[in-house]
Amino acid sequence: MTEFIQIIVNGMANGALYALIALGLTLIYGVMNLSNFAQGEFAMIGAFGTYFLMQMHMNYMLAIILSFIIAGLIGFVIHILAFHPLRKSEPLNMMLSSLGVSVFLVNLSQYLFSPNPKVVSNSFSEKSIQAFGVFLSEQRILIVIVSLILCGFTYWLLERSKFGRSVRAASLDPDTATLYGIPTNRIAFLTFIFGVALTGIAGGLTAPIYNVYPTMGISLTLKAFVVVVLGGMGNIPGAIMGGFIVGLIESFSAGYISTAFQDVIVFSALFLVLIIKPEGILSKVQGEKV
Amino acid sequence: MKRFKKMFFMMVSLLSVLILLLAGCSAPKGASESDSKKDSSGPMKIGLVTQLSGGGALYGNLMKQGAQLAVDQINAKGGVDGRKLKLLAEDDQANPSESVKVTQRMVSDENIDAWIGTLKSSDTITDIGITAKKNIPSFVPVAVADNVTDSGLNNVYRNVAKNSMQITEMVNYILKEQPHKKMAIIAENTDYGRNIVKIFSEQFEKDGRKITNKELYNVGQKDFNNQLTKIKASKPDSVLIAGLVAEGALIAKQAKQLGINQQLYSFGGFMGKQPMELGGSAVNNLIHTDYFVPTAKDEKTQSFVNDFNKKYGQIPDSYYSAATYDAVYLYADAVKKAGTSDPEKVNKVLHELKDEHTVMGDITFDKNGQAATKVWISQIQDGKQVGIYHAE
Amino acid sequence: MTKTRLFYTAITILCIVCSIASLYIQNLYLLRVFILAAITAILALSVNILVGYTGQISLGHAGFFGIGAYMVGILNVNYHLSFWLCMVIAVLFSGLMGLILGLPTTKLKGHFLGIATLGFGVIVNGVLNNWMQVTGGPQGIRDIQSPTLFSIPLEYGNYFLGFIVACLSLLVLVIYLLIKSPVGRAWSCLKQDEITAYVTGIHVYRYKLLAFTLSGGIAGFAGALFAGYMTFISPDTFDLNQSISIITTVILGGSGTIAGPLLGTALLSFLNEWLRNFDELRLVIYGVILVAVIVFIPEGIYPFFKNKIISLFSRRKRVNQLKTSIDPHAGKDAVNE
Repeated sequence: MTEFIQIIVNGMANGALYALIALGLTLIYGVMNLSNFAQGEFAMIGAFGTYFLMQMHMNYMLAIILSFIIAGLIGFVIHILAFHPLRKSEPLNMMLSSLGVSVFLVNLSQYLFSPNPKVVSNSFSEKSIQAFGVFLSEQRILIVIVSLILCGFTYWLLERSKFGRSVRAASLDPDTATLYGIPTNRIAFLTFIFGVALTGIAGGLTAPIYNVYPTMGISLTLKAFVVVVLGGMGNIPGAIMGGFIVGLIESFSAGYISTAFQDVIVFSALFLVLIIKPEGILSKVQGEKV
Repeated sequence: MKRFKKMFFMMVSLLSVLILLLAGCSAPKGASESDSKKDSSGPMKIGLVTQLSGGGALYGNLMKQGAQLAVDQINAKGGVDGRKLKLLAEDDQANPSESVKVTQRMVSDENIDAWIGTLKSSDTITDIGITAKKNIPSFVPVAVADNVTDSGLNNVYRNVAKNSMQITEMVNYILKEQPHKKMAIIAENTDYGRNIVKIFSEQFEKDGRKITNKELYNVGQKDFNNQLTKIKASKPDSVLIAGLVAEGALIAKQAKQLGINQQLYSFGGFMGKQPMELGGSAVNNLIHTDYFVPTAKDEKTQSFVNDFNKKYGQIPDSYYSAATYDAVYLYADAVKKAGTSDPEKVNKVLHELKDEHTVMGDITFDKNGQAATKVWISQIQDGKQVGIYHAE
Repeated sequence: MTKTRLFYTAITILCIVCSIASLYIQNLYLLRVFILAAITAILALSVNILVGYTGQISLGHAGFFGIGAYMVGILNVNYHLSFWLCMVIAVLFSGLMGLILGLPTTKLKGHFLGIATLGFGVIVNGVLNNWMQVTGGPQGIRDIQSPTLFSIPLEYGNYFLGFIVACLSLLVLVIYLLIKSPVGRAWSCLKQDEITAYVTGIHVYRYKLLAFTLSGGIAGFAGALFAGYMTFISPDTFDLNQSISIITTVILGGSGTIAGPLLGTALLSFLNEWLRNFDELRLVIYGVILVAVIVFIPEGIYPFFKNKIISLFSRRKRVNQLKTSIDPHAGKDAVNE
């Protein structure tokens, strides 16, 4: 029984992290129609940002907030150089461009910072709380809390604010949105920066438990894609739900089937969802646009 | 138009077959390994093939630093018989076809005199197949899978203990000195990790002891809670980490956070100070095999450690640098003894070496090129590596 | 007619010259680069059937590549079948896998299809890596027999290159004929607009399945050749990076053309080897070049230069005509939220 609860707790804790990264990905997809394969690399940037700020004896929470800004700034530059010129071209080209960006960022950071993992330690990182034989490290609790807050904030932003209305309009139909005076290009810019900056925070949050190194983002990108597809692309509550579902599938398949086949099982689940309900678990059915 | 296409189609297929037939009968001999000439006055080239990008670059760079240090030292002393050494380091991305390409380039374009490589045993085996055609002395300082030196090649030298040696040492140590009866293994999903699982559990269970779990993780994975939860549930009295330090340190940390306080064991990956940097207090008391102890009071080891520290500003972490450093010296000394860089003669000298003193210990290559280097058992005690056991 | 004939003859001669020239390459390193590039070119052609001609994305082609290679490896090493028989089985089997993958996924479009095929690649890689009894796990399969063709041992690089260039030429020809046939026209119609194709009476589902099957089969063929050449295979070769690099090759070269993927392969292989001069900055530069090419020449290198050259030699009318034939909005998504 303890094991069962521990598995659920593990899955939920990881799921919160996946949800946070997927949130940025799904926002960007919704507005720009871009499958951003460089998403995980912004987590890496955020993590490196946190590491270097903490080397300068900055408070951990402050460092995380600044890593949000760092990731956003780098996202701004990348968007201008690699994505903005392609806004009118095929989505496939944008995707390829993001692959190029990913190769570039990983290898540049390896060149600049060496491939050695770097350790970020804060007051939470070593401790864990315990209840009835179930353990959860304090850092993971922090991740869950921050992730839920950010998900909630993003949801509020999209549903209630003026910016959110523009984003939703731009993602539903960019042409009509432009006709109504919504600056879709600027919205795309802001969404991209906000999306990657969220992922930057995720990177800063994971730094104490996963260490910081150049290739840390790649597996996160893949997981985030699974989450986004499960939840429905461009769908915020879907991404949050999807995050927890993927986390749970992962921990249950590892716990009760096989740790070696963990990834195979996660992707098979994705496959099944795509076949049965391609628009995602939470989406309402939409017909094809002619 | 249609007829033309048909004709065209037939013509091309006929011709292609014809060409091949012709090729069989009257083709030139084709490229062969023997006709390139060696420049015997320029620098001697040592090719290093290892992973220098991506996740494994962490270990590949250590190899490169070790080799570069040795080359610089030898050159500073005037080289070997008046010839300088030159290190060519290339990235193989841990990909078999890249590795083969890079090795081939070194062999046929650069005319290397010696080859050192790689991080991965499976790539190493394929690569030494290429260097063997020209009989180039090939050193394997890092890859430990048993079958690297089982291929019967005459030009392969491994100056590090093979996997089964370190596993046997570890099992013997536990059987003799430790009370643990139920052990869980968490292993990386590569041939390195899988081999450890196989050999270790065979030897460990012979004595009536039990392996409770064999959990696998992928290289580059960061979260091990799922594996560790499973291990915790079967209540072993100790845990063996069959992996390298980047993941191993995280495993140790996350195990502590899950309340697994059992004794941890691991292998060569946990040498040096990196485990303490990455794992902090979580790796305290971890027991592991060790090929190279930087604090050993050996003169050669001391000078290596000091020079390395001077050049790169850090104490050499693990055997990666030390063994690669040794490989360069082994080659240079063999050339000195043979008086030529002719591969035949150098190979002969290398096979005849007897207790050659190096950082990794006294090296004698057997007929397969395997050296029996020292294997210690060390423990991490309060942030320091302490040798605790050495089977004679 | 005479112009086409001249064109064909020129290409035939080029292929023959290439095949023969391959026997005279003395540099073993170049030989390896060429052989691996030729295998990549075959892979690129197979991806091009999906991406270029049918408008489907595949991010999991390394899966088919791996299935082909492992079929040869397993059958040859464990069951001692001859290489050629293994190769035929490998091609058929990976074609079948293409069909099976196609059955559910042809209904998906754009990014969804991309992620689904990506999942397929990850699953195949996971199985290759973990199904120890059959695939040998991470150790891979060693000592695959080198093929012999009419008593010519192909284990010598030169002969292998000659053989593989001949295969490549034949494949190019077959694909060319296919594209000019009704099948090709149906593909290009459903690539432009599926609903129109459906209304016109084209059995969209069936033609897409055909594309998947063919593409899988050709990728499996490339895999079989790879296994025969390397005589050693391990799961690392058939990972996501491989899938991504193939589709990159196709799109950079110019998808939807025959010369595009070939040119892409040649350029990227060359780039990859040339960048070795830059040591640690190698992949950084590679990333920059990738982004730069996509940003400045999104239609692909071959169509770009073709248009440039044509506009140099002919009247403006023809250029416009060519420009409209490249549709910038070909890959729209099913679910646009």
